[in-house]
Amino acid sequence: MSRLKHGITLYGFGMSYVHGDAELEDILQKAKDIGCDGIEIVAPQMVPGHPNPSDEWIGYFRDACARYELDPVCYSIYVDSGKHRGRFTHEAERMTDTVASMEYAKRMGFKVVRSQDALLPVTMEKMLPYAEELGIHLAIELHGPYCPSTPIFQEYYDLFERKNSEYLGIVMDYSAFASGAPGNVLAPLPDDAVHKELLYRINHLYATTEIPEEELIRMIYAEGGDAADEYAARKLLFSIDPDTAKFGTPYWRTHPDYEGFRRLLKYSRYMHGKFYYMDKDCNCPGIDYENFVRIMKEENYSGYIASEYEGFDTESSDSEQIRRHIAMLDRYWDKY
Amino acid sequence: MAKTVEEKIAAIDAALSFGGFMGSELVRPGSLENKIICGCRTGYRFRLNNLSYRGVWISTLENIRLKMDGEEVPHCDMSIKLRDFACQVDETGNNTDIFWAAKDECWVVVNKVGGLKPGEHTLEIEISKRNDFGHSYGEGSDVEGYRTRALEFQHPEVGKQTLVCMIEEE
Repeated sequence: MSRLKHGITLYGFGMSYVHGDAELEDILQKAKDIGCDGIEIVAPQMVPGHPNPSDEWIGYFRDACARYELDPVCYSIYVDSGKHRGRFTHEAERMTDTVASMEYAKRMGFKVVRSQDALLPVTMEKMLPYAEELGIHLAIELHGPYCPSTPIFQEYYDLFERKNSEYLGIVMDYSAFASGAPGNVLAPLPDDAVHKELLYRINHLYATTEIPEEELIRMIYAEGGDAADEYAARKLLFSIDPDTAKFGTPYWRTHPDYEGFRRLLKYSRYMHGKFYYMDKDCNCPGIDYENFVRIMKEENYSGYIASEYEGFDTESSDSEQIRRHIAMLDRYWDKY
Repeated sequence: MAKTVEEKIAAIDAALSFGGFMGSELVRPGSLENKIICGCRTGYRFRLNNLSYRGVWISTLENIRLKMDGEEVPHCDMSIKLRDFACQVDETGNNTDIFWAAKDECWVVVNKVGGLKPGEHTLEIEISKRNDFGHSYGEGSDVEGYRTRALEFQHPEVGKQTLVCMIEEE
């Protein structure tokens, strides 16, 4: 029986890293201990000297991967369109930055470079000769608030179909297929600002039923909530308009885009198994992993899925959350 | 005393500034200190928390407003210090190649002869920042067919924090 290839994105340990609780070596050790087939690094976050890391650091990183027996798979980059006041980055700047990142990724041993949809399809097409020369799979991340049917991702799909190249593709992030808001979405809010237990129940109903939003608002008031709870529900629990969202996600309730996911799998070598919380029984509330993994199995997906933890559970460690996620993925993979 | 609805909503907004990454914790606790050079007090400084999980470009900082003990600090007295780089807060936008990495120490430095007196001080800070990156199509403004909105770059996010800090007796 085929086996699902697991990746770990070091981003999942990002909070520990940024807050100074862990160094890169500690994180590589954790990834090694959890056990995975490959790792992803978010370049600006964990590559010192970004966007121009030193030869010395590149050598150190290659040695560290060899020492921990970790395979560098995905080098994640951004298109920082907002860095200039008063103008967006020009296409030439985006191309130059992307080529440079692909070169660094190659030198560090990565096989996939994950960029963003701000690297527009016409620009991505111009990157293909560089990707071919470097032997790098250049992929655009499909992340909420977008989904496979979002117009620009249909353009990417057309490009992939037209080029049919192993060097262009997509990194699908499960945030684009979430049924409801993350199970920890209210964690940043002060306890005395909202009725969290009530709002989490509303969130569960939102993700698992099609009860209209206005009816859910009435339930908030009926159960002792107030206008602050309504404000939080509209801002955080209910679907966010993709036209105005920044990093928010439209939630798909009971109808995530299974067929769009299936269609894009052909161009996927790597994906983000985004999750926010895994319970003790290795279930992931809010994202229908079972049916998406079933589709991956049906389509003979042979790429990696990286367990991408974006939560801050206080009762279990980030390592434990990732272990549970991997166990869930294997359970569903073996089931079908 | 329980918060009013208005206070609760203000608390929600504060907690969600900068995508909820730092909540309202813009300033690293315990970092306020006098700038003492060879025993001379030339001002004070405090450390900012990084405003993103992945680091930010200094040029995306649109504005930093600071009040110390209720008194507005003029921009001409305020600078940013990051590794071996320093600039006036008004000049951040012109420094498009300076990346404030996630683990870098970034300090706000204030010129003030004599520094701050020992004891409690109330620090109020407001930071406006554009997004470094985003998911809208307006980024491709020079690419045919993509001249669309890019709201995340046109409306800076604003984070605010008020905290009481202590300057210890020397």
